[in-house]
Amino acid sequence: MGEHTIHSILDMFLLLMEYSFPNSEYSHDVNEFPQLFGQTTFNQYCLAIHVLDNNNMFTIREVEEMINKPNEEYVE
Amino acid sequence: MITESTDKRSDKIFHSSQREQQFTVISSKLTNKKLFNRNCVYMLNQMYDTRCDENCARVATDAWIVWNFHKDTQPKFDNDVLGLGVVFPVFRNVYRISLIKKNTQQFMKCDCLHYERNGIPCQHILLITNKIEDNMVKIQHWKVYGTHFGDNSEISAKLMEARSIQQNNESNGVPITPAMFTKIMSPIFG
Repeated sequence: MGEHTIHSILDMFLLLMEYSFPNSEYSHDVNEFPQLFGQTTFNQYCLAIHVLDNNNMFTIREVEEMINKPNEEYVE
Repeated sequence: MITESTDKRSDKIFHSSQREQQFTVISSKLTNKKLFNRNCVYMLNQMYDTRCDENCARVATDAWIVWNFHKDTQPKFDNDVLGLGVVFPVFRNVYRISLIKKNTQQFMKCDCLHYERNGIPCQHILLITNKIEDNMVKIQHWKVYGTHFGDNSEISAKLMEARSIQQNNESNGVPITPAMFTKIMSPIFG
């Protein structure tokens, strides 16, 4: 495969990537998001974000404690 | 001798695949249940039914988080004299779902990787899509796969083509149709 071909393939790939969605993290647009669905409350959402920020490293017991005694650390 | 036993085993699998085509899960309300094997339909039903237990928040145009903080409980072990079950660590998980676009095909990928392991969409994705489309289930779970893959029929060619597309998109997640994509992106959802 020639160098020119590789470059054209790379160009095509970059073009495709532009049309693709970026690998987004959470909380992009504060005005529009989050949108909560079903019975989800904002406190539950804050707790979920807190758990996610800590790489899902909280145990059942720890999360239960957080639900029972909401902490200012994650409730906005 | 070895070849003979292998042939017998292959025949047995082929015959059971043929029989499988006649079966259906009567209790299932899944509209496309006749396409998939019974085990797959049972799993799909379970995933679809449990989806409502999950909490969901859309955090970006192409990202959601899904969690259920009440699903798992602390395990109880028999003869746990030392009370180790109490300190047994079970972690709560919040799963991220993202929308991925590759060329003209859209995918939904969940952190739980259920689809990557089993070829069946997880309850987290089903919570967002609210529907199980034909192409959301891997081709290996289709009834025709066991009976027609590898023979000289037209359907075999289609199955091989579908499998190769599936392999190319292996790490992208659950494929969704443009109609489903539009439905998900519309603000009416939820």
